[in-house]
Amino acid sequence: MKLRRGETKVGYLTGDGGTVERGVVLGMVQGKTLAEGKEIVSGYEKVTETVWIDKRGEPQAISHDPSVVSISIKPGNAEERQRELLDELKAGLEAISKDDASLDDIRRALAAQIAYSEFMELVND
Amino acid sequence: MDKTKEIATKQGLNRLLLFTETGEGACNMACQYCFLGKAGSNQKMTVEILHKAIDFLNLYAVGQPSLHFFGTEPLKNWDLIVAAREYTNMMISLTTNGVALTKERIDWMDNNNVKVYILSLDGGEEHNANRILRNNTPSWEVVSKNAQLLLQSPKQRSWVTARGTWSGHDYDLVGRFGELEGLGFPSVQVVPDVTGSFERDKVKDAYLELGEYYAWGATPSKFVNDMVQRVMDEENAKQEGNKCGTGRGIWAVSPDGSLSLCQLYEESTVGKIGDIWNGITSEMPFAAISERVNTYHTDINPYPKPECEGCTAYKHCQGVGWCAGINRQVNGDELVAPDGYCEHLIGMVEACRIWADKQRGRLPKPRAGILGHLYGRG
Repeated sequence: MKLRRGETKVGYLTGDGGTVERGVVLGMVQGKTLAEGKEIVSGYEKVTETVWIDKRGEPQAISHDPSVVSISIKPGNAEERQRELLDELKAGLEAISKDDASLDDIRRALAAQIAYSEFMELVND
Repeated sequence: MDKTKEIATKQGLNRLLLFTETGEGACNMACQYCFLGKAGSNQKMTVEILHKAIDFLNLYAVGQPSLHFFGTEPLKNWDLIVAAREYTNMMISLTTNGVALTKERIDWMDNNNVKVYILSLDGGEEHNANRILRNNTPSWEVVSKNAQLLLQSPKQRSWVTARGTWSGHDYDLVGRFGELEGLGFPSVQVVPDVTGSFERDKVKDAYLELGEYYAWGATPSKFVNDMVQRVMDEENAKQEGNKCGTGRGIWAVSPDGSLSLCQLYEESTVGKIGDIWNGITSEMPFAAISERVNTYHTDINPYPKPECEGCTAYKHCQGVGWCAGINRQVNGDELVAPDGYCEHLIGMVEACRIWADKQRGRLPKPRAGILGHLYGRG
């Protein structure tokens, strides 16, 4: 799944990998001398933080370097999930192909088809 | 884009497999092992439906379209083969049991570029045991005579393959090849009917006898030659993967104009995908059957049967055992190959390993120096 570039903002990386927002750092240096301000800021690394979102707009990844131009991810246990969904779809198809198929069988088969299509759309997006 | 066009493009549709007649009495033979039930009311394809099927293919085919008259016995409806050629210039071929072949029909096919690709016959006594006419009489005499008529045509001889079906109660492969080659077929495929039982040791012995018969060299069977070649360099041979391909490239058309994933689903509603008037109306079989069988022997589904994991022939296993539809008919699941398939494959691979060793022994000895490295086996 290829992610889309979301919101971009300036932030400050802490030594332990966390991020502090620009406004917080500005508050920390406010009223301090230049030397004190430099001393405070030296404990952080200024970065441009980009949030990467999926097609539903949900954040899936964050990058801290403008040289990152694209990010693709694969959903965890994708193969296992695809196999499960295909098995469900096959069971649904067999059920609705019988002469005595019920409305419930049709409903379940259609739900399985939608679930498989959505999953593959996500994987191949 | 038109949904049917989208699916036809994705599946690489280029050929229609025509069932010109189905149901009770659709075939002039009653072979014991036929995968078609041929039950229910008899239906014949009309010329209008044939024309519509050709129009459909012209509209949706990717690349060069072609028609293959397949079932149940195409020569029984000869008028439709003639009507197809009068209507289109596309390539036309057929599979036949040979009963209704005549000199006049062979001449007409030669003059109208209609190719007999497959002539189904088993050879000798084994043929008569399984391939019987509808009146319960043996068919070898008439079919072998007609096969020789066909082979008198240089054109037909250049592309026809004799396709024998091998059921597990007979292990005389040499006899079968001998009978079919004796008729003059340059290409012979003896395909195991894996719906029945096979014993791997007997299969192995049968292929070893065949190897000896052909002096451990090439046979008229691509199927056998390919396996020997794979085993010659077994370490570097790639996993066979899935060779079934149901729904890919070729769709089957029934006499009523309905479309199925392939010939194995013609008699079953589960693989119906639409019709030649409305195109694809049910996409579900493409995912539930075609895509699912493509997961066989992949990370998604490496071992469809528990015993696959330690199988000595795993690397050479052809996906769903050639045919998803056969698997479903036997085991109710496309992904589970019948035991007969596994027993045959293991026996064949074990024999081909010995065959390959013998073939290596026939090659020139390694030579010394740089030329030895280039042309020798060192």
